Amino acid sequence: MRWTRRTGRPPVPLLEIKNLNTRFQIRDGEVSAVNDVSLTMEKGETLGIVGESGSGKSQLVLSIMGLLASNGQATGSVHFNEQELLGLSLSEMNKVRGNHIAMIFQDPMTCLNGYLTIARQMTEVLTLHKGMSYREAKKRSIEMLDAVHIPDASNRINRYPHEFSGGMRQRVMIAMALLCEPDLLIADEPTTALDVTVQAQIIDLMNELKADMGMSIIMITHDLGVIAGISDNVAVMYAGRVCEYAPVRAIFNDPQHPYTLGLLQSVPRLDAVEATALHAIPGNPPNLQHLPAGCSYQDRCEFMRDICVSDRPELHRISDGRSKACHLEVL
Amino acid sequence: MGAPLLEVEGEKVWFKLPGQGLIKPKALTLKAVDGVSFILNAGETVGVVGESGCGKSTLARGILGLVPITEGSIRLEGDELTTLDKKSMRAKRRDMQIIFQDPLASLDPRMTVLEIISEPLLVYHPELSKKQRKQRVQHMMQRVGLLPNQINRYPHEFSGGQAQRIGIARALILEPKVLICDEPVSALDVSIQAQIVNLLMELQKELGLSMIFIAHDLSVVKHISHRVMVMYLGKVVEVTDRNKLYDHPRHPYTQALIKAIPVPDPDIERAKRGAPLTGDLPSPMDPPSGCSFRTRCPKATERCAREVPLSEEKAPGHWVACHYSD
Repeated sequence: MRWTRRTGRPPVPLLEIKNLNTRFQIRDGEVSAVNDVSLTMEKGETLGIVGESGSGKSQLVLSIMGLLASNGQATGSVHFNEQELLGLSLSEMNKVRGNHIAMIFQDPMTCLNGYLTIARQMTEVLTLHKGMSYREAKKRSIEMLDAVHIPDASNRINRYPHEFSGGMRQRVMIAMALLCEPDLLIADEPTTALDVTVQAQIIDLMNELKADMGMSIIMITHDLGVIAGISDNVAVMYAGRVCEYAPVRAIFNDPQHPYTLGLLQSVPRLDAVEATALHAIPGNPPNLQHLPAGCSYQDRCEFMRDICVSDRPELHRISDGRSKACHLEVL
Repeated sequence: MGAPLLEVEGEKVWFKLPGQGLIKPKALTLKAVDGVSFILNAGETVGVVGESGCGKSTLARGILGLVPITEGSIRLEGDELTTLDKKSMRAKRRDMQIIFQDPLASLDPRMTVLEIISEPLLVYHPELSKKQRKQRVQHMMQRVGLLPNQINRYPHEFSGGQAQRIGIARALILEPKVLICDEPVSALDVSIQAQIVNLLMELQKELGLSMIFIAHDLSVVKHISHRVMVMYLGKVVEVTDRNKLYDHPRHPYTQALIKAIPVPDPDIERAKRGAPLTGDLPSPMDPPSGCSFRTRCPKATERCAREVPLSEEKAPGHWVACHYSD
């Protein structure tokens, strides 16, 4: 362990996001992708972020990493290891990326360079960030490929990405992300493009590596089953906001936000006995260019009242470690 | 029960891949679908599941005559389809329609909703007047949950879920007997997915449709199907009633597939230990000898490498292709 748990002081969170707003300027106006998000993460924790497409979950982490598209602007504060990340210069940010925070994406093929061998791409990380020699770097890379269970790693490292299957490529991506032993791994839909049997292998691997290396993980996915298997705490996002935050069991066993409840009810379950009609959430998510004045979920909510139209519910604490953004006291 | 609506017998779809000069001088054969047989009764939904590359979409395209069939027989209400000429096949195709995975990509962006949904009517019912066509389209739009005043809009003005409704309207306007759904909800968010699944189930009851529902998501397939067929590398490994399949899966692949699906319940998910299957799908160009699942199967023996397991009825209506099934 690289840190001590009990220092007598309250632990300093690994990551503290405060009032993060991310806006994109487009031809006919402004898109509010992330709206006033505040989240804290302890060391060693796995935070699951769940939401549908367009809920802002990817833009949230891209804002943390300073990887927004050129028309995007993030404001607020992102504190990581007692360092403010927003507003860092490119060279300072490059020291944080890879070394302290690493990220893996949905489609490993588009992230790997098809013209370079795996060895070339992996050693580059270490020679750049750690100043290792090529020989040392290659040895370390092979160890890391072993750790993610790539068979015959010392030979396979000389191959090109297209010679690997989808699941193997995602393992290579994970190995590459872990080369510098980051404190935080951000995984953006890492299993969405994979078949279920391969997905199960990757989730298993991530749980194993987390236990071995003691890192923290932010897991972004739209799959509630994946969230249930890997997270300690869960943030549910809707229209760029966190609408509920709670420990994983509380989210699944006792959801307190109508949207969380709706999401859980709209998933068909394998252990269900009869095929009754699914509980569908009516309508569509709002347009992020023209968000309503009150609650963004008002049009689709079965508990909607007058106050939901006029006042926006802020994320507030409802019990220890739980918060929600809803005017309803109890669901 | 009368004769089945659709009978598929020994469907094979093989693709010949040309050799590549000196490196690979021999032509290869990709057996995308390799001897699939099943029946579809009137008003029934048969689900087809399997991982990517198992041949489930090619199977459907073969049934519709969208890819040429190498071998086998397909009968719709007793009429053999594989020997029909183009013109008669066209006439038959009105009874079998398909909806696709990516709703926006399957709609012409330069056509309005009216043009898209009424095009099949132009082909098969040229006698209808413009006004009659429009009436039918509006009626169908209402039925699938679209507002009739959206009739002159273009596909890009719709969200994914609504675009899928347009695709469904286009497929149903000819009142087909069989609707093939090829991953119709995979590209949609969960809340929208539920809307479309509910719509398909309602329409089926209302119109007495028969459906072939293809998906890689077993939970959705279980929800919507009466019977489920599991495919692996171009072959059917197990087929039975949905409840039997999920409660008592007999083929090791089905068992692993069911175990691999993440359940939205932290206690169940955390109790799982280890991934149920190791390794990846073998290349369909070079499938293993004998049973194609043997390279990943925990029960595989030498016999599996030698003999191809035939599909046997292990319990009434429960067909399994495995030497060592439970």
